[in-house]
Amino acid sequence: MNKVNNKKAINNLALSGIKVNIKKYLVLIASVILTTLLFSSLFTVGGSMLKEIQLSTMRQVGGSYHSGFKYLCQSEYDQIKDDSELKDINYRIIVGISNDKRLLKTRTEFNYFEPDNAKGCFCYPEVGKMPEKENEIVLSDLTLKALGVPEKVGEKLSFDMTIADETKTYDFVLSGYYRGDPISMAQLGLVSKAFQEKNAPTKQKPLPECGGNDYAGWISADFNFSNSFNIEKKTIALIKRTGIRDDVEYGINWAYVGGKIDPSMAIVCGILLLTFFAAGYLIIYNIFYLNIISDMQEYGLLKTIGTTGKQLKKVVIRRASFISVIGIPIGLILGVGVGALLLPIISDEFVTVSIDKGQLHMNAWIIIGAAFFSYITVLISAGKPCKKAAKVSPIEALKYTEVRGKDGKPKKKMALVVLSLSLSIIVLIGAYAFITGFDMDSYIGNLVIADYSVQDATLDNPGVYDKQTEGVNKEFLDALEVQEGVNEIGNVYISCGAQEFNDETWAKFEENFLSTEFVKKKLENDNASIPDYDVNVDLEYIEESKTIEGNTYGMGEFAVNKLDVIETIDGTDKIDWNKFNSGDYVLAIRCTQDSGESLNYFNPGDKVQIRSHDPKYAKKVEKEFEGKIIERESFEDAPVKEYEVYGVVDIPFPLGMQMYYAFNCDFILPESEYLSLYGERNPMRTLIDVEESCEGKFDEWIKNYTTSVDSSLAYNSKESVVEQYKSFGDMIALVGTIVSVILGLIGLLNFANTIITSILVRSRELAMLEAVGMTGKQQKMSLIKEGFVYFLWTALVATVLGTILNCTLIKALVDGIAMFTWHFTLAPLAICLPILCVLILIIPVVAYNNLSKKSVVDRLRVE
Amino acid sequence: MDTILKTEKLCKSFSNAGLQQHVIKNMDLEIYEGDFTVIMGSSGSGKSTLLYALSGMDKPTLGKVYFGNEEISGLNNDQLAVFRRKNCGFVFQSIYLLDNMNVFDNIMTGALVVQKNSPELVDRVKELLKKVGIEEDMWKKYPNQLSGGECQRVGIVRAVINDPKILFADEPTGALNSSSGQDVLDVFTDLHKRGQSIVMVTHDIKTALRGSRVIYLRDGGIVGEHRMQDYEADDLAKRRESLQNFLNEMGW
Repeated sequence: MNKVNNKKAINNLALSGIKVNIKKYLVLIASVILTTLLFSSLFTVGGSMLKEIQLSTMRQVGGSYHSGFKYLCQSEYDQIKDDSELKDINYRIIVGISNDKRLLKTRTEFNYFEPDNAKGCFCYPEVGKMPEKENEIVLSDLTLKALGVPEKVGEKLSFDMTIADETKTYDFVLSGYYRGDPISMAQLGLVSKAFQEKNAPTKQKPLPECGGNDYAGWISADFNFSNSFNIEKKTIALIKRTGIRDDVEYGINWAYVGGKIDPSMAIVCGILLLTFFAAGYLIIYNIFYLNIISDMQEYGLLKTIGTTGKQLKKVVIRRASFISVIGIPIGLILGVGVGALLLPIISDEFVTVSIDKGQLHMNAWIIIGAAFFSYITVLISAGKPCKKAAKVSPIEALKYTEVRGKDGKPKKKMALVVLSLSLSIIVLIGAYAFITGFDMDSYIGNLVIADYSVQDATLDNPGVYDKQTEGVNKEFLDALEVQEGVNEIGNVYISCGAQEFNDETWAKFEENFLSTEFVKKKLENDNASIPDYDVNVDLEYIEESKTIEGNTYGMGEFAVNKLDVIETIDGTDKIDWNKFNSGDYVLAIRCTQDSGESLNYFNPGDKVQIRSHDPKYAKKVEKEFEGKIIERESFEDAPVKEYEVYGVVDIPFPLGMQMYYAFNCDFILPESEYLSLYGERNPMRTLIDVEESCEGKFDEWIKNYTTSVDSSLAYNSKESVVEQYKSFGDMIALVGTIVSVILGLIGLLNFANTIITSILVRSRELAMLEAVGMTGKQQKMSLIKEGFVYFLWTALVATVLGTILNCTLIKALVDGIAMFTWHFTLAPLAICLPILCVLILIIPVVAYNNLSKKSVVDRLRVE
Repeated sequence: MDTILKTEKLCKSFSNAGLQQHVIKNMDLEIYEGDFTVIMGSSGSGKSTLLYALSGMDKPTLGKVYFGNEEISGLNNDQLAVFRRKNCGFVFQSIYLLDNMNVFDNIMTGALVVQKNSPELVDRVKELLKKVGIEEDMWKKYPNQLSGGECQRVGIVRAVINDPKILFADEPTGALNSSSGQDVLDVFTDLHKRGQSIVMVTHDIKTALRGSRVIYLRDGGIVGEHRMQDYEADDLAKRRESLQNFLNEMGW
């Protein structure tokens, strides 16, 4: 058989069908646009947020390179630099670290950077140029601010720097500066090659041959592979391949390793993706299905003249592709636009970078991904109707009628329309229940315990691991003292570490706490993600070490009054400050599981011993750990004091150290007792209550103080929490509304299309009924009734599914978040259903009026 | 015989791509009560257009149409629909049964547009169906499960269920085979015998033989008229000859 090239004929058929029925296909194009809009806005926001999180990690790590080697000498660097597997490689040379009082909170490391390396490490000067002369330097704006040097190229400055254990004051001229990120572990200072070679000459011998603790002059080589898959494996392979020493210290960039994606965010993205896919599928499938039904006689005719099922499939797929070619690009543009508008609002709610926050990070994958998902949705949606067209026999197709229910409406089509109409309402119900579940009082209660809380900026920043726990300095407290309207000031001190007890106390602790099922369950729950986790190993380790994780707090009366008292030695739930402050008592925290179940570490009346962690008693000791000798700080010579447990309390979240450990066997001492045992130190946090009339003035002062005077301090206020609530609530409301509106549009488009197509397909039937005497009014009523059936089903399905969703998923989600309180609501139904009802009345009337412009005879003649 | 329908200077034009096409031109016509009027003519002569204008399915461009003494050419769409359901029945070439309803429901739908549901109505539907040869076992069948002739007989029952004063038929046997066509025509003859006024468009001489009056159209005007006795099977040869002669005269 000769192969016929019928591509052109198929294309002609596909396109002519669209041209003739352009109105019908416009609805389809609109639905593809909306579906693509949903996908591309999700991909834009998701992709940009992922990039932002990755950038945030990179900034914390200090670079964007896949991997790097540390402490290389010149010959070792030369050995690896030409490796063919490396996409690029460059280096920096460690020079020294800041040792200047002004830079205590802004640790700055000084290196010589190759220009490309500076770019990869986010420290390439944005103003000015790289240092060339020996005395030139590039610093971050944060370092400059800490030094009190204006951001001006050419500015002269001097500070103390330690290079190879030698601290000296160096004079520099600022050749440039860049925007530093506070979340970075250290700020970077860029010195010239000349300075580096003079003060920290490049090492020429490998590390093992040099010995000592001198870090200056070593090369840190950073490199990228062709892609970021398996970078650790590739790095190890590089070591083997180049023959560089096996014990070379290498670092993999966490940002490429993954695991930083918040699982709840991934679940939300997954749910949205599925919802959008379902919404897109429902509408596109439905419209395709209706189009094919209405074109069935055309397909039958084509079959009678010899068109094969395969060719008909091709015609349908060409039509699908054609509408995709028009709809997807428009949807992409709109989606990226919507995504870009939403991005700053969403990004604002997540702790990521602080530079270029909420910026659009477009890449080809966002476009390809969104276009791919949309096209796949179109293809899958067209798939089944396409098969239907291909399978139907010519005669059946010519006299094609749908399978209908008793009331004469196609059952399957009705189910699809009802589902797609309901979907948008159900999503709206979900979003609304979530938004209204936000409990302002519990949120504020959870985050604010006083009018103001002042602490080091790192303390409550979940992105920072190295917390400053003695951040509230004397200067601030002195300044605070003289502020007008300050009613009360309460300090909270902390000493992090572990608790150790004498044999008697430990035995009691073991019996009452450690040996309980509660502890086993807690450890198992906490380590559920670790495969083959053996709880006994951990328990044995705790029993052997005879120490348990726990902090010791020192609190003044004001702070103690904010504690949630569970029980006391007096049998009351009140703490008698005078008794507690006598110096013989301590408050103990209890251990709480995620499920809310709790168990006391110690009970009121128990005796516990607390060892001082006063730095003056600290000494370095060597200890064996996992076969290695490690050096650690010990307080074994520090005094130990015994206290009686006065009561068991919970520390409100905003008051304590917001870090999570398996066990928090924390104790609270009165402020004066704490300071006498632990030595003088700065508070971790200071709580302030201000007279209402002075709040405005105080707010201005504290804002100014924490930005202009001491930017290392941060504060939370009731006002800022309310603001935060508002912006968080607004974000959810905005995203929820946009998604609901788009899904609603899809639902309505679907409904309108179904009704209009149904009227068009049945135009002859309606004309016949008109011919036998049915008036236009009667016909419209019948169509409205038909729409009303859709409406009733939609109301029923939306109510039932919305209720189920509300009582299961939303309840679980809302209850899982501390500041949310779930309550049942179907309020969106009250808004949506009347709108839907009105449209259901209007659309058939408009469609019928349009149709009845033609005479009965003309409509009867339509084949 | 009383006049049931009358036209005065009836004109019907269509505009197609800017071109005016005058299909019916200044036509004066009277249709008599109890008559079986057959409209014949070559393709494009305006037969169906005349039928639809007479029945109030389409509005004339100019001129007037009277049903009895009532002018129907000035009625709006809804008034025309009411007029049709009170006075007219229709049988189409393409039958136009509702695909999603069974035989019985198809007829009931036509009836319930005009009257209320009642046991009498149901009995009448059954009686009429039996009369046209649609037996009880077919009543629950859907149109796509019937032959063309059966469908058309159901169509006729639907057309007469409301006791129309006049029954319009547009090529009722056009889509049927010879035997089915005869069955359908027998139904029309039977209806006519019972006094039903019928206006039928056809280009088939066998169908036209059933009529009592044949009007011949050419270029939108009446060019001849032939009156016959009521149809009797035994004078078929003579009847055919006289009609054939008339049609020959008309240039058929």
